[in-house]
Amino acid sequence: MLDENATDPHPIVGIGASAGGLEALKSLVAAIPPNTGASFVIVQHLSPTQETILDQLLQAETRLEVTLIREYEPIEANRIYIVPPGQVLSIEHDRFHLTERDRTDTLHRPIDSFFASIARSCGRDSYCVVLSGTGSDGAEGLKEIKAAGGFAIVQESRNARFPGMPDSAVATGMVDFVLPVEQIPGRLQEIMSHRYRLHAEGDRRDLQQEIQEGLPAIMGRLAEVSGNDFSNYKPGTLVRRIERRMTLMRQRSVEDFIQAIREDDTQANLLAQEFLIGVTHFFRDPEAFEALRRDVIAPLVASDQRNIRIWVPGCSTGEEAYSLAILFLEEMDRAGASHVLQVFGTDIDVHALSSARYGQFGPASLEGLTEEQRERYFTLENGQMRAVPLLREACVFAPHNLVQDPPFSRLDLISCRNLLIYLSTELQRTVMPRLHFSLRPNGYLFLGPSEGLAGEDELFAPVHSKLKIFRKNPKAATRYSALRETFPRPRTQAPVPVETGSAGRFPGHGADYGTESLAEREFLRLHAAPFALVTRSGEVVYLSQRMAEFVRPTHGVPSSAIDAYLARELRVPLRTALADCAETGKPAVAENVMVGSGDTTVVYDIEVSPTSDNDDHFLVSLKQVRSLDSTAVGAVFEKRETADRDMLEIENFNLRRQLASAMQEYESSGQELKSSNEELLSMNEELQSSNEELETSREELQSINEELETVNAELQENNRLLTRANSDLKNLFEGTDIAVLFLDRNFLVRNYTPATTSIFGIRSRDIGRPISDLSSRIEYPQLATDAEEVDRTLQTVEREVVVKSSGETYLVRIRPYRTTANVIDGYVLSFFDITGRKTYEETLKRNEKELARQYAELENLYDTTPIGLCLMDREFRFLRVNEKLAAINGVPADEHVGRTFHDLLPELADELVKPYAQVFETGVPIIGQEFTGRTQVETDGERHWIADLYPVRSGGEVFAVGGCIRDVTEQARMLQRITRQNEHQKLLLGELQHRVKNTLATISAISKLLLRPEESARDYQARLTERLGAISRTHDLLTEADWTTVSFREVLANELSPYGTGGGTEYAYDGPDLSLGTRETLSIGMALHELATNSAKYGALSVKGGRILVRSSTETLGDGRLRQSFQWEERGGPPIETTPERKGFGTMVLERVLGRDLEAEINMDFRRDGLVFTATFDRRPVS
Amino acid sequence: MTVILIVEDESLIAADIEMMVEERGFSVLGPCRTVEAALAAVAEAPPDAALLDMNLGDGITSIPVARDLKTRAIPMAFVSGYTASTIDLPKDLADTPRLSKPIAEPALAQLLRDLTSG
Repeated sequence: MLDENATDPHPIVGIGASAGGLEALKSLVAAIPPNTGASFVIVQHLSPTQETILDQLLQAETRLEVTLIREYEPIEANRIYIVPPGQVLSIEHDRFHLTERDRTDTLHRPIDSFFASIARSCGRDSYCVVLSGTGSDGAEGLKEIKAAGGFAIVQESRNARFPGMPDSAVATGMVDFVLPVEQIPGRLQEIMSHRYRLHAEGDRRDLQQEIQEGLPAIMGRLAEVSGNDFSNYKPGTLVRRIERRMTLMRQRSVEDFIQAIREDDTQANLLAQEFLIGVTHFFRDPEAFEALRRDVIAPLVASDQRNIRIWVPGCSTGEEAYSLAILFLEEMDRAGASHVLQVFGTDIDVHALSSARYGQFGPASLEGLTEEQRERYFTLENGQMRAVPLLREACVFAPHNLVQDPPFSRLDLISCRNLLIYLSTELQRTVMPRLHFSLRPNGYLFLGPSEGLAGEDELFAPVHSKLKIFRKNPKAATRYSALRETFPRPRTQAPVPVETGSAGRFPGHGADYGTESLAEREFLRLHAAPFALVTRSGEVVYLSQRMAEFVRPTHGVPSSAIDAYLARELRVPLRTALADCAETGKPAVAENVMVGSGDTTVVYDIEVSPTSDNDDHFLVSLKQVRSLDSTAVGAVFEKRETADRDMLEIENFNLRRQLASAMQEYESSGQELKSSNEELLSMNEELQSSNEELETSREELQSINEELETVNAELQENNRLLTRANSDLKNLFEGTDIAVLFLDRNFLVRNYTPATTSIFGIRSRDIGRPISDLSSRIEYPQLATDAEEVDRTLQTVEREVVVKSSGETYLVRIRPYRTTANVIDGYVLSFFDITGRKTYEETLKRNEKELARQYAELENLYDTTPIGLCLMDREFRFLRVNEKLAAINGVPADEHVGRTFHDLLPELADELVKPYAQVFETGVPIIGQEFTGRTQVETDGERHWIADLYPVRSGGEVFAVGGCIRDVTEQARMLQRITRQNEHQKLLLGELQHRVKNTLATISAISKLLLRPEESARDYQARLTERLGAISRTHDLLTEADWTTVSFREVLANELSPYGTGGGTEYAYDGPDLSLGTRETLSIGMALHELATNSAKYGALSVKGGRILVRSSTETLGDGRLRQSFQWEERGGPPIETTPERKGFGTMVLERVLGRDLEAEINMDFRRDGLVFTATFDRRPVS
Repeated sequence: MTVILIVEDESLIAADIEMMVEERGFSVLGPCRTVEAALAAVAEAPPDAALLDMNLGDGITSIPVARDLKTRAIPMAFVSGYTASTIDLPKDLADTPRLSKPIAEPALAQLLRDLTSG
């Protein structure tokens, strides 16, 4: 390590992606937790000539730093690295190392090479992830990572854009997890942190030690569950695999792990399978093979079909394929049949295939064969058993991916054992139809003991369900079609040529001898001490050229054992040294061993040392001891001779060697040809199957074509709609008057509507610039906080912004910008000019205040107005009532609501309901409706009200009736009084009129009655005036007396006053005063006037000394009437000789006015000394 | 000879009317001062027509006489100081002619002619 401080060792995750990788990478990167402690290195197939922006694209998805790798950069944890285009990445000394891509290298596999590099440098801390892509890059590298003890995770191919790479990776059978992309980082972290804990808890060696100690218990459990005895397996491998399993199961202690596999058969089986990886041998599960022979192979051989075709997918190094071939050959021998047998073994591991093709196996794997089978079908070759040509010719081995490549067809038997277990259930479900397709109608399927049909039970019918032998159900629909494969793939593997010089080495293993430098070989040949390779048991395995001199085979059966092969002198010391070395593991030397070579004797030191790569092999070398021979002088002559002979021998040897080499080349060419032939055969098979399918699928194609046309038409229609929608959107954009601004999450302008220019100084070239760079009329410093709010809540945020210069107000509304995939990717700002609305709102507020004030006023008025107010509903219940009406009704206002007229005003209710009902019915107001009656208020009598009723409408319908009620009791009463007064006045007026008119009529009558034909107008007028005067005086009296009762004496005095000398001496009054009513006063007044006038003319008053005596009396009658009478007696006047004949006006008055009008009894007595007039009248009691 | 009933409580006025009626060649029944007297006179010898003073003093009116006459289909007229504005006649008598006091002779003559013409 060059720089100790650069970085601590930490996990490195290699991520390989190709076509369709960007999408997967984005999801993956976005899901990487920030602190995994690992470095993530992305190897993406990129065009070497083009710069990449992959780092920027991915940087947008994660907080981790994403950079392109620079040469010799230290590898830091928690970062994401991307391999730059045209470069191949490896890790050297814990730093990145970039090399230019070799343009001539057509097989460019940067993922494989980088994975391998991780495996080398990180070992157990290496991780790889394979994502979407075509081809199979990554699969090989993945194996290396697995070999180093690392982990491999692969994207679910179902979700990958291109499934080629994931499927290839899965097909290796070594993938730990197949997951959706977004779950991969999480799982990686789980594994890493668990491993970290394992590390932290103690030395890993301690754990391994523990595991080793626990091995017997684990083996026992596995034997119980799987029936396999793993006790012969190498402990190192087992421990590593158990440790891996523990990590996957997140078990920390061995005890817990043992407990877990004890309790869970599945876990135990999985561990068993882990052990079985790459482990296979002949006739695994003999019972199944026996059943296969009996029920499948024998009938097939007995049939008359010419070709028998068998397919072994996942054949690995070929044991299974050869096993089947042996069975068939045996059966054919037994039946004497001569079918053409073809066993196709396929695998994706080309190295394994070449090994299979060579057909050489170790003794251990042949244990399942009988002695007879071994002898018949295998020959010993270089200590190993190799299949005989007969057997090898029956088998064809070719690279083939069961999951990806078109399957073979027309097969009689498919043996697909212990392959499916490595596949996910989904993959198994895709594989089953392929196998079904491949078989002939009655073909057989042979699966591994723990495998099943993955739920595709209808495709196959069980023959031995326990032994997993199935038969194709020919009636089931063939579901596989190569033409339905998304991408026709190029053959993923180029055929690997068989290396030359393969003799003496294990096929597919070890170093490449062909590349060994010639110089080394030459040196070994010419200058190295003689050496040989021997086994622990003493078999000579290899001789160097010079060692060949010491070969002295003994007679008898040829053997390569030291005792039978080498020079006699060497045998004992060599064996001793070998035993010594084998025992100590250290080089052992046997000194001074004399070996005779022709005539000379040479002294050698024999050194035996262990080999580094194989503890069974030991290197033997001979070192010549430089000591003089006793016969040295004599030998000088022989030297020449010997040298000559040596040269010949060398030449001879070279020729032989050339021959051997040519022979080998020939064989190798043959093998190569055979391999090519097999390849071709396999391709031919595939082509045939494809061809058959092509035939059968032509119609299918036709229908697909039609479907495609339909789809195309639909797409065109969609396109048209999209265009339409697009232009609509464009018009909407340009047509809207609302300023809308689209910003991305960094507040860079993404788009805007034309109206935006009225707010921001924005032009189309400003798209992509930060909004803060643009001049703006509004101040909006809260943009960032508002945007955070939007991010947090995903809700629209609104804010009012004022333009100070103009006083305009804008409402800014920020919404999250959602992409069609519903991802928040910025903000949409809408600006609404709400200046008008603002002003309006303020006016509204003012109005509201004013209204509230007015309402309060009204409320106050409502309650203080002297008019009763109420609102009634249709059921004549009070909805509302004011204090005044409450007072009128004598019930508190709040007890009104909800109660009816009948409840509150039982006396008035019927009267009230009528007009209210009318208003409800007609909708016409009633003004001035009068009510009279009593409420619950105690009053001095009935009260009167006037009500105005008006309808209250809601939506045209009268839902209530309002009433205004005024108490008019006082007015009503006053009106009554006035009416009465009026009537009284009218009565008075009538009376007055009556009296006036009667007076006038009386005067009229008097004026007529007074008339004397002979009299002059002057006299008449004088008399009339007298009478009128008398009436007038009587009226005066009556008026003074208020037209009630008048004293008779007053009337008398009144009438007599104009006569006599005055002083009242002319008359005397005797008796009580009389009380006179109105009518009586008038009549008596008139009568007394006539008496006085007459007396003044003719009687007592006409002379001096004449006197008048008035007497009066009253008497109360039984019926309550008052009888009154008066007597007028004249004395001292001229004597009356005769009673006057003529009755004048005076007499008429006395007779008529008194006699009739007063119903008085009158008597006129004309005595000699004067008139005596008596009148008696009844007066009704004054009422 | 055509007989005219005169009902009048004031004897001077009654004399005046009587005189005027007689001067026009009618015979006078009454004059009667009271309702009772008038009803009795009518019952004894129904007149051809009647002149009735409305107010007979002390709140008594000649309405009962008028009703009696009306049932007997004897034409009549009220002679009264009252005018229509000061007193309302009962409805059934509302169309009875009226003669205002003091009586103008031509009007009385015309009234008498009207009452007796048929």
